[in-house]
Amino acid sequence: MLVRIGPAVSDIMEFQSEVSWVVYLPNTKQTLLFPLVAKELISQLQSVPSQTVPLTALVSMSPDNKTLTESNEFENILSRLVSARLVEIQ
Amino acid sequence: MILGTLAAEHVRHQLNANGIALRVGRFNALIQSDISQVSQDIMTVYADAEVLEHAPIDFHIQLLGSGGFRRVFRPQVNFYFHGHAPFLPLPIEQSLPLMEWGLNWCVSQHYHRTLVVHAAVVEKYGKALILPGQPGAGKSTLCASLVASGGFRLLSDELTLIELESGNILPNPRPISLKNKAIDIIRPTRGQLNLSRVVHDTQKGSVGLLQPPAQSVAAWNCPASPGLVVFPRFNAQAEGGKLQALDKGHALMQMANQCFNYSVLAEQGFKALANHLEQARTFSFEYDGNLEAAIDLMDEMLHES
Repeated sequence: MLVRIGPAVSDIMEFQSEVSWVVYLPNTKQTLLFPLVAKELISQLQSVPSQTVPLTALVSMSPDNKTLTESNEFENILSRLVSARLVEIQ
Repeated sequence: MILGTLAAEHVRHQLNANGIALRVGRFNALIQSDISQVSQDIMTVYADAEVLEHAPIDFHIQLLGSGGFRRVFRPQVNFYFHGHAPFLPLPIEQSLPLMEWGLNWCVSQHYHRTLVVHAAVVEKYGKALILPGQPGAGKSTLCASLVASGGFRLLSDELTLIELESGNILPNPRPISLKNKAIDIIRPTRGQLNLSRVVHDTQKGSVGLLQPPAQSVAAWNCPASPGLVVFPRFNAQAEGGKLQALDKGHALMQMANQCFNYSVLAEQGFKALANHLEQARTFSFEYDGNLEAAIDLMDEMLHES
């Protein structure tokens, strides 16, 4: 499976704090709270020229990948990012 | 001219005739009522409100007794906003609380030049201390103590108005609504401030309204900069009070949930909230009812901000 940048990323407004990342999605008027690692994942994804990476590679791209993998948080965060259309899975 | 300088009979007559235009908080309200108790109540808690002449009116409100058999059998009061009745009538004893709830409704539903947050807010050292919280969290009790005993300026006990561009807080100093046990907690410490007669068996229990200090009323047009956002929670076990830093992202989400017009303002609302929080420090605060300790702590924290 490939993960790619979703269409909502271009529209968001964001607020970053020490441990969290709040995004406002103008299209749906939603405000969503993510752990900061979600922003890091998207930043890493944006840094890849194709902006598309294999799912297995994405988790290892995060600076916090060890914590993510151990806590099984990755799946939860990814699914919320997909719901918000911040990432897409092909 | 302030309301407290007028003769009671004149106020009663004016309320019943063409109404009296008052600055209530930062808004101009034309108030009319045919209920004699209302004039006494208004003079108690709005004694320092400016009487307006030829000023544009933001809210035209009426508190009128029900007609028919309700004139004699369990009389009721109706709240009208520009001629419309948004609420069901209440027992006539609840006229003053109904007026206050109605005025809150007027602001929260119709004023969108600022972000309107359900939170108490006070000021000291030029900085705002916002106290958001669910009903029962103790924010009004804490707010009343900070104002009556701690030398803080009242900006609002119910509706925090965050300016969209600057993130500053616009004052809206109106009576503080005290409920149930808070009434007897605040009564002995209120100094010269009037407390209205206590109305029992309202939808919020017993309610008493504390007059805002004259200095706070007079400073209705002096905004406060962002300082602290503290989410209070009463906990009898939290000996001495427990203050913990709160991540600003979580604070933003909690405050957004407490806003009346966040979805109306959309991106502007998000920006205003983010802008305010960028400039403020955020905490959660469990307190055990020791208000003196809480006042000292809030004072110290705000001074450091």
